[in-house]
Order: sequence, then structure tokens, then C-alpha cells
Amino acid sequence: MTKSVKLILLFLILFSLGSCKKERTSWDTEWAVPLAYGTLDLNDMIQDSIFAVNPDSTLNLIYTGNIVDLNFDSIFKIPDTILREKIALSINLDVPPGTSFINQVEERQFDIEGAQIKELGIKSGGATITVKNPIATGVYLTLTLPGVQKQGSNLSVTAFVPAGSSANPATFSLDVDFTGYMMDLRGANGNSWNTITSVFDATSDPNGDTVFVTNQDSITIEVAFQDILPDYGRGYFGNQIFSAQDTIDLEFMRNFVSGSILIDSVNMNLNIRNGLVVIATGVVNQLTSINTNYGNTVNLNHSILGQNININPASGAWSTLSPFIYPININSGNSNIQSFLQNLPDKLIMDYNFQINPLGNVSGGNDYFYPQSELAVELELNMPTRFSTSHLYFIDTFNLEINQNPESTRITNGELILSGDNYFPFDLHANLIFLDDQGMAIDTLFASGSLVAGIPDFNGKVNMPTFSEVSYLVDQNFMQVIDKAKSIVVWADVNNTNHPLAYDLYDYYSIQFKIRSNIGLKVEF
Amino acid sequence: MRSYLIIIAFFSFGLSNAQLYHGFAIDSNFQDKKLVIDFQTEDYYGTLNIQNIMIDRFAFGGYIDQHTKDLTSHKLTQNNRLGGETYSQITFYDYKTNLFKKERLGYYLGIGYRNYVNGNITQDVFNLAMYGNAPYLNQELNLNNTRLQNLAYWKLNFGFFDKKYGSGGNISFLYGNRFIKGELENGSFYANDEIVNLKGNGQVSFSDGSKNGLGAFNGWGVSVDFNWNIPINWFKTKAIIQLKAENIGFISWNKGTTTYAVDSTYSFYGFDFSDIINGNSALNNETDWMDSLNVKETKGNVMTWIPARITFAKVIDQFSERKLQSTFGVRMITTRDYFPQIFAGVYYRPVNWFAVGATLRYGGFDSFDGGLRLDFMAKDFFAISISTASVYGTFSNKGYGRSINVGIRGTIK
Repeated sequence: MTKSVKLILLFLILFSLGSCKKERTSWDTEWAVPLAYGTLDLNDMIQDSIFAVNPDSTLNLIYTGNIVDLNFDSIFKIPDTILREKIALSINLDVPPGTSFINQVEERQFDIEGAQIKELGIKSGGATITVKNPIATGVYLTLTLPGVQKQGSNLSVTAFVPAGSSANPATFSLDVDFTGYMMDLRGANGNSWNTITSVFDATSDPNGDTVFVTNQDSITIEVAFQDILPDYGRGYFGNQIFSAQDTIDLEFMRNFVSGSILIDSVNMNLNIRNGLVVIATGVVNQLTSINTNYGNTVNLNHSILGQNININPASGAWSTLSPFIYPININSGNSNIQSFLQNLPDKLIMDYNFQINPLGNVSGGNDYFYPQSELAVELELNMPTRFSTSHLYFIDTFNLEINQNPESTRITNGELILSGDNYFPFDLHANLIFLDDQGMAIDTLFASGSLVAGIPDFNGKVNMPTFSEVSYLVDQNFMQVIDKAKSIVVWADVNNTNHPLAYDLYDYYSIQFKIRSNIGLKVEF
Repeated sequence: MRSYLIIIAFFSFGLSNAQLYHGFAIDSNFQDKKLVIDFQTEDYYGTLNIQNIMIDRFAFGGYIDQHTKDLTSHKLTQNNRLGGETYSQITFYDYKTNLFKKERLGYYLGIGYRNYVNGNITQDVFNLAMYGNAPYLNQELNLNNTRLQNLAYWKLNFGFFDKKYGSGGNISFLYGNRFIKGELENGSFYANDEIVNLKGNGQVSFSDGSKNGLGAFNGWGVSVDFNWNIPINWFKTKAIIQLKAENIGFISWNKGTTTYAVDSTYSFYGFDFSDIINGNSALNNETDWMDSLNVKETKGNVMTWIPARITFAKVIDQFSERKLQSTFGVRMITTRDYFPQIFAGVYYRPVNWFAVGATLRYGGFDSFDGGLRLDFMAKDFFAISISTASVYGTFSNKGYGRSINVGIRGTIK
């Protein structure tokens, strides 16, 4: 063995001694840090609702929303319609270059079932115009729709179609946007309805040759109306009946899932709103309160249900249009509205019939529909926030994303501490349920107690909040599954320990809260 | 042969480099040889108040239990310096060539890798990191003068030397591998149930984190070393006084270097619940965090002086016929966390093939410890030296640093 080889071997031995594998370094720490703070008032808890403050600082819950909403498109539809014309000479002749050899007026009807429309304002939609030319010279074809106007001008389109043959006609296509046009559908004589008038003019190519055209050489023109959506109409809208069961989601109630609530008084209006200049009648057959969490339903009892209601036409026109409103007042005295709402509905279903022009064409074809017109039933709820609760359960869900690497620095255990100043005269006991990406509960953090209710004075008014503190223990098992959590459900029990004594809620009521944590953090690298 | 040496050099960095208190003028055994290969590794760390039992957990891994934390915490003061380095170098000395046609001048080529760290922490920083803030609620914790610097670079050097006494110098090209430098000049941390207050005035810079590994190139620089061995008369005999300056140079870290600077007071009360439920929380947005902390981010070149090492000492004279020699001197590393070190010791060479040395020292990154050196010299072709600058620390968990140095020298032609 040479000296050099010995030297190298020695180096390698020394290297192998120094290349010991290193473990990960780790230690445990305890951290106490504030996590979140905030204020919860009624607006936070009841979404999409508006509270009105009364002179005595109590609150009224006000909610409005349409249960039924029939607009122009619901009442009748303009079907996609293809108007196809063949235009030809009546005799055979030589057509020199630059000669207008066909000028023809045609009328075609839209197939609008049950309605006789004289005028339409187009909100959106258009047509595809396709021209086929079998003549042996190019043709300038002008299509004019005399009754289709925007800002006083007729809609007119000119297209050049190259020369073709009978066996192989030349084709040209063009899309035309009808948005903003007003369509006169009375026809050329002004006495028709649903009728569109068109004028075709064909001129031979000024740069082409003289060609012999027979009366068999027809130029084919196809106008395909698509997705015509009007926002104005005049005519007779027909005698039509609309029967349906429509559902409205009460978003502001969706967070209340179970428990009981005693509502002191309620004032609710169902307003039938007719924005059409059309006589109508209607019947509200049934209004049902549905709690989808419990599956409970409560039907409203009220004398108007099942009764025929005459609905007058709206008055005015365009910007002065004033809908006719037929109010149906529903209160604690004339209905079972309290039990209807105490069902904690998150959906309402209305079964109804509406009929327009029940007496036929008494307007002489002068029914009107304007852009803002609708035939609707509006729910208008105005109730004092005076109630009592017995274990009323409220839920809300938030998205969550926690990434913990079990091989790296991580939270091992701990405690979340929720402290709050509670003005509400109700205890709040909130548990936290963690859901995976399939919505399945993977673990729950249980509160050690409740945020204690504010103490009402002899008038039932809380003047000072009550401070209390609750904790949630986070154990190692929880931390092992927290990675899978994708959302957190706050499941809160709102309870009046003096139930059924009802309390007013005041505009300054809130819970000012802080969340802090005492966590065990294992540092590892 | 060349490929073997490259492999050896590459894999030897785990052994690393040492504070060789027994400086040598030159080894006479090699004086007449033609080509010499010299391999040195130096690994050491030292801390003023943190015992090895704690440092070992960081260096070699393992769980830091409550006892270890308590033991360390109780020994800490408000300033606790620490530092260390691993250094490996392989060098070819050419004794055959007469550089510049001067018979006494040879030249050498070398390559080395240096990984250097120094820093300072307060007791409160240690406690905060080790225990968390829970035991210190309602107390203001002092973060002043907390700093950490880590430099790692390759060094390619070309130098000349005096064949008789070993004086010489070199110029080195530095290949910047990694750079981290953070400092909090003034800082405090306060927390209670409702608030976390963080005051800070400092900055941190680091090289491009996307380029890692020993081959990562993140900057370049230049340094020079020189070594002046002066023969003197010493109590009726000869001795060598050595003035040695190493690593006098700089590295310019490239444009990928990021610097964060902060000079603000930040109070954290928790996240605003309304922001969280609306998805606007700073929790989800790094930029918001930075804004909240008033952190300024810049990217661009950063130039740093590399820590130089300067030694002035009476070193061992290999020419001496005396079996027992003394050595003493002073050493400095140019960082804030290195306390000038003085050392003194003896070197005993009873036979030609073996020598042993012992020193006492005070200063450096730690404070007081002893050194030990064992030299084995095969007659004319090979020598190996194993030494430590921290005898107590190297063999005890209660020490404040460890040191192991290996030197191998042999002729290859």
C-alpha cells in the first residue's frame, strides 16, 4: 500500500466518524395570546334583516321580499321565430349591372300564444339574416323593417351576396342586434297584431355582367329571431291564468334551527302589487311556514285565504307608472301569525292563482307592460323585537383552514377563552363543531359554560352588561384531527332563564367579546 | 490521486476546523520534500452562559426538557454571546518550485469551506423562545442586542510561503454560499390577556433562499491572509513570534438578497372578528402583516465583511532542539460577540514522533477553558494532529463550548 493510499484511507475513516445522523430538535412552549375581538349585535346574528329603532330605543325587525314575482317574461314569451321569404321576378328578363330588379313588401307573424301584441320594446336579443343568391351576378340586397325603429330610424341592413347558381347558390349571413329597438307589430295596414313587415330590395352588381334572370330564380332570405326579450309591450295580453306554488327562502331565519321562541306581537302584510296595466284577479290559497331543520310546517289561518281578490291595473305610464297595491294585513288578532313565525321558518310556500284579463279584451288592445312592471306578492314583516326564548338554537358556519405539520412546529393542546360583556337578556352557550370537507363533524369543542345574560331591571331593560368567561379545552386528540377541518359551526343556545317572560331588545344591546388562547406549542425542526 | 483528494476535501467538512493554539512555524520534517498535502478541519462553538447540554440539542437534535431549559435559563444574564464555526481546508504546498526564482519561496493552492455563526441573546429572548410567553404575562421582556449572523462560503486561495519559517500570504476568491444576518438593536415584548406589544428596531438580511446546498452561489468576494513568523532570541535560545491575520475580506451578496427592516411599535389585540368573517383578515395576507408591523422590504446587493481572525503569539518552533517549549499570545475575531482571547501553554516533544501540548485560555465566544494537542509524526512523510481548544467543554455537558480539530499532513511526491 502506497503512502498516498494510506493517507486517503485515513481521511475516509475520519469522515465516517463525523457523519453521524442528526435527530430533530424539539421542545414545548406555552403561549398566551389574544386571538380575536369583536362585537355581536342583532344585525350580525340575523342576516339580511333591517332593524328600525323606535323612539324608546327598542328595535323593530323589518323584512321585505317578494314571494311571487311575475314579470313580462313570465306572462308571455316571444318564441324564437324564423321568417323565410323567397323573392323572384314575375317575368323573365335581362338584368343589366346596377339595376334594382326586385322590390317586395312582405308580412309575417310571430307566434305569440294567447296575446295580440301591437308594440314591443326590445330589451335584448337579435336575429341572424341569411341570404342565398342563385343568380349569376352579385346582388346588393337591402332588408328594411319599417316598423322596427330606434331613435326614429328604421332598421335597415344591406348585404352584398356574390354570384351563385341554381345548383349552388351563394350564401351570406349577418347578425343584427335588436337591443333598444321598438317593434310595431300592427303590420303594413296598422290593423294587425304580432305582425312584422319587411321590405326587400335586390340590385344587381354594378360591376357585374348583364344576366338573364327567370321567374324561377328566387333569392331566399331567412331572418331567424333569437332570444328576443322585451321590456315594453302594448296590445291585448290575453286571458291567462297563472297557478303555482312559489317558495321564498327567509335567509334571516336560517340560522335559527330549533328551540322555542315566544313572539309578543307581529304585524305582517302581504301586498299584492300589480305593475301591469291589465285587470287581474287573484287568490292566495295557502301560505305555509316551513322549518326545514325540524321538518315542521304551519299553515297560516286568515280569512283572505281562498278568497278571490280583484286587482286593478296600474296607473300612469313609463316613469309615472304607479302599481296598484292590494294589502292583506296579517296580525296576531286576525290570524295564527305568532305560531306561524314561532315555527322558526326558513322557507315560506305560497299557493296562488292569478288571472289577467278575466273579462277578456276590455281594454281594446291597450294592455301595457313597462320595464318596471311586475305582478308580485310582497311579504312585509314588521315586528317588535320583543320575545322570549327557551333554548333557541342558533347556528352559523365559517370556513376554516388550519395546516399543521405533525413533523414540524405545531400546537399540541391548549385552551380557548371567550370572555364577553353581554347586554342581551339571554344566556348564550356556544359549542364549536368542526366539519371536514364532506360536511361531517370530526370533533367538537364544548364550552365550559354560558356567556351570562344581562340582568333586566324592573322594566325589563338591561342597563349594564354582564361579564362572564367560558373556556374550550383543546386536547391532543383534537389537534390530531384539526387538519381535516374545513369549516367551523358555531352552535349557540340562546336561552332566557326567565322564559316565558318576554323582553324588548334595545338598539345598544350587543355582546362585546374577546377570544384569547393558552396554547401548548411544540417547536420542532 | 487528484480525484481522491477532491473527494476527501468535499466529504471532510463535517470534521471542520479549530483554534490551533499551538501555532507552528513550519514542520522541519517536510522542509525538504517536494509536494505536501495538508488537511485541516476545525469545529468549535462557544457560549458565554449556555451549557453544552443545551447547545447539543440544537447541534445534534433531541428533546429539550424542562430541566435543561431551567438549568440554562438560570445561568443567563442580559447578554449571552455565542459563536462557532466549522472550517475545512485542503492545501497543496509546493516545496519544489522556487517561486519568483527565489529558493526560499514556495507556493500553495487551497480550497476550503467555512461556516461561521455568531450572535447574542438576552435571557428574556431565551426564556421567550424556550418557555413561550405564558409564564411572563404582564412583564416587559428585553430583546435588546439580540442578533445572529451566519456566513458560509467557499474559499479558493493561492499563496506563497517562506520554506524555512513558514511566513507567507495568499489571496482568496470567496464563493458566497449562505448569508443570514439579523439584529434587533432595541426591542421589547409585552403581553397580557388582551394585548401583545412588540417594539423593535432592527433588520434582518438573508441570501436567496431558493438556492440551497453546498453548491449554491449567492455572492462573491475576495480576502487575503498573511502570516509573519519572526525568529527572535528567547532566553538564550531561539523562538518564533507569529503575527497572523486571516480572512481579511468581504463578500458582496447578490441581488437576490432580501432585507427586512423594522422600526415600530406593534400592538396586537387579536383579529377583528368582522374582518375574519368577511375574509379580510391580515391572518390571510402576508402584505397586511408586513404593513401592520411597519416592515420595509428591500432586495439587492448587500456587502459584508467576513469575520477576520488575528493572532499575535509566540508559537512552537519546530526547529528547536528543546523538548519543552512555551507558547502564549492573544487572538481576536472581528465580530461583536468575540471577546479578545489570551492563551498560554506548553508543548512537550519527548521523542521525534510524538508531542503533546496543553494550554489555558480566557476569552473567545466562551470564557475560560483549557486546550490539549496530540501530534504524531511519522518520520518523513506523514503527520497527524488532534487537538481541542475546550478540554472541559468537549468532554462535559456542563461546559460552554466544544472544539475538535484535526490536521493531517503528508507528502505525496
